[in-house]
Amino acid sequence: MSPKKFESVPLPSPESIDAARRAVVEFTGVDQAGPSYEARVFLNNPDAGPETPPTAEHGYAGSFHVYGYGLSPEGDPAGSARLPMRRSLVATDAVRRAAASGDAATVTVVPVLPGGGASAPDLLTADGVSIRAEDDGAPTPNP
Amino acid sequence: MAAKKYVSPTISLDPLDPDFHRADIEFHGVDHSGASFEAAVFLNNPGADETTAKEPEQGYAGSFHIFGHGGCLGDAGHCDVTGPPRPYDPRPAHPLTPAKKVVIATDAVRRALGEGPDVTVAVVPKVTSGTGRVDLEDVLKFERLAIVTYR
Amino acid sequence: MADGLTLRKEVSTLQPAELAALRDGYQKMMAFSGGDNRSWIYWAGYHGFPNFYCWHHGRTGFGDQQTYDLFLPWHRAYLLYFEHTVRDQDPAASVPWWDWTSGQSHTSGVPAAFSDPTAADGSANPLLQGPVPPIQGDPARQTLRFPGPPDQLPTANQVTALMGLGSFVDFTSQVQDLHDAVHGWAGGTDPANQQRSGDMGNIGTSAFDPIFWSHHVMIDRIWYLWQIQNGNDSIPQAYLSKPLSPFALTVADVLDIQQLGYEYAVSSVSAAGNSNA
Repeated sequence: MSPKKFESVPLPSPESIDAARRAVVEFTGVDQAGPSYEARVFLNNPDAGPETPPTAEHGYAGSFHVYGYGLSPEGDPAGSARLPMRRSLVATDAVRRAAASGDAATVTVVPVLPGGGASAPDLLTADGVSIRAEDDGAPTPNP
Repeated sequence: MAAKKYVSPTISLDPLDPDFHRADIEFHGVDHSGASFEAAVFLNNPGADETTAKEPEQGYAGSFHIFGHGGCLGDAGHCDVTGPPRPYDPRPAHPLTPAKKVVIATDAVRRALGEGPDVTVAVVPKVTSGTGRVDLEDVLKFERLAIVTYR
Repeated sequence: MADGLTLRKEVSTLQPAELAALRDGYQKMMAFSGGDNRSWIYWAGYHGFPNFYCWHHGRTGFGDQQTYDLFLPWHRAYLLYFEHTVRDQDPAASVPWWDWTSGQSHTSGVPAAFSDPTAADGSANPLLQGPVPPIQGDPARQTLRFPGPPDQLPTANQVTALMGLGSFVDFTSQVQDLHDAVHGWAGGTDPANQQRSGDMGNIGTSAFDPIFWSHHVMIDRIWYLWQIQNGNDSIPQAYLSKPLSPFALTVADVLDIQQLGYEYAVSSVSAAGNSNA
C-alpha cells in the first residue's frame, strides 16, 4: 500500500493564517492499535515516499508520531483505549507556502517505522484531514 | 481439631462509668492473614467452647467475624507488614495491617456488672473457611482488648 | 534534601551510590514473581498488558461523550506510586529523568546507565532490560530495544517551543507527540527482522523496559517546567475531579509536585525564616 493521499484539501487563506497564530493540519480516525511509526506529512507532493527528503523544498510540513498498542486485535484487552484518535500537526510555514499558490492542497502522509528506512505498508489508517488557521490558546495579553 | 480459644485474665470493671447507654468490647490488632472465622465472645464463662450456646445465660456477648486472606500468596516478604508510611507516600496501608473489630455488647456488659466487679472475656473462634496454606488451630491473634462504655 | 522532598536528577548526573540504589531497587523488583504486588511485572502491567490503565491520545471516559486527555496527570500518579514501590526495596532510590535533548543523548543515544551490560560491580545491569510475562501465546522473555540514530531524538528547541503554548490541552497534545517519538525511537525495529520491534515502541509492553520510567520522568519534568511558566488555569474544569485509576488520586491532586513529595530543582538550599525571632 502506498503512502496515504488526501486530495483537494481546502486551505485557509493567507490572511487568516496571518491573523491567527498558527496553521494546523489535523487528521481524524488515526488508528493506534498496531505498531508505532512516524507519519511524515507533505503538502502538494503527491509522489512523496519514504526516501523523500523531509525538507521544505519537497513540501515537508512536519511529522506526527503514533505510539501504537502493538498487540493483535484478537482478545483485545484494551477496549476503548484503542479507539481511533485525532492527531494534529502544527505546520504554519508549510501551510502558508501552500496557501500562497492555491486554495487547496494534496496532503500526502508517509508512515515510516522507527529507526527510519523502509515504509511501513498498511500502518496508517486515517479517515479524514483538515487544515485550518487557529489561535494556539495562549492567553490574551492584558491591554 | 477446634481452633484455640482465648481467655483473658480477670479484668476489673470498677473504672467503667456505670451510667452508659452503650458498651463495646473492642479487639485491637486483629490478625486477618489466615483463615476466615467467627469469634464468639463470652463474659464470665471461661469454659465456653464451640458447643456453648450463644445465649445470654451462657454469657454470650456477641461475635465478630474475620474475612481472612487465606495465607501468603506472594514471595518471601510479601506479607510483612511494613512500618509507618514514609512522608508523601499516597499508597494505602499494607493489606495485612491488623484490624480493629468492635462488638456492641451493651446488655452483656450490664449483666456482667450485675454479677460483680470483675469479668473474664473468652473468645471462641470457629473457622468458617480455610485453605491449605493456613493454620486452622491458631487462627485468633490480637494485640489487646478493651471494654468501652458511652453515655 | 530540604523539606524532606525527593530530588529527581538527570540520569547522567547520578552519583555512583545513587545509581547503585536505583539498580538495587529495580533488580529486587525484577526478582519477584509476576503475581507479587511488589514486582516489576506487576507494576509495569498497570500501563499496558494486561491492565491497560494508561491514558494516551484520544481516550474517552467516564461515561460521557467528551474526550479527555489525562496523559500527563495519569503518568505523574503512576510514576509516584512506582517510585515509592522502588523505594520499598531500596529507600535511597529515586527515579531519574533521561534528557533526550542533551548533547550527550544526541551523540550517544541511550545513556550508559541503561545500555551498559554490567553494573559497576560486574553483575548484570538491571537497567538494560526487564522481564516480560507471557503474552498471547508468546513465552516470558526479557525486553528488546533497537534504538534509532541519536540525532533523531527530539531537540531542546522543540521542548522550548512547547513552553510557549498557553493551553494545557494543546500542550498535552504536542508534548505527547514528542513522547510518542521517543517511544518509537527507543523501541525501534530489529534490523534483522522488520516484523519485530523493541518493547518501548508499543504501549502494550513499553513499561517493562527500565528506560520507560526515566523517559516518563523527563515528560513529567517538562510538564512541571511548563506549569511554572503557564500555571494551571487552562486545565479544563471538567478534568480536575477525574480519578486517575487505579491510583487514589484525582487530576487536582497531582498538580503540585511538592505536595507529592518531590522536586526537579537542579539544586536548592534553604534557611530558617524569622517567624520565631
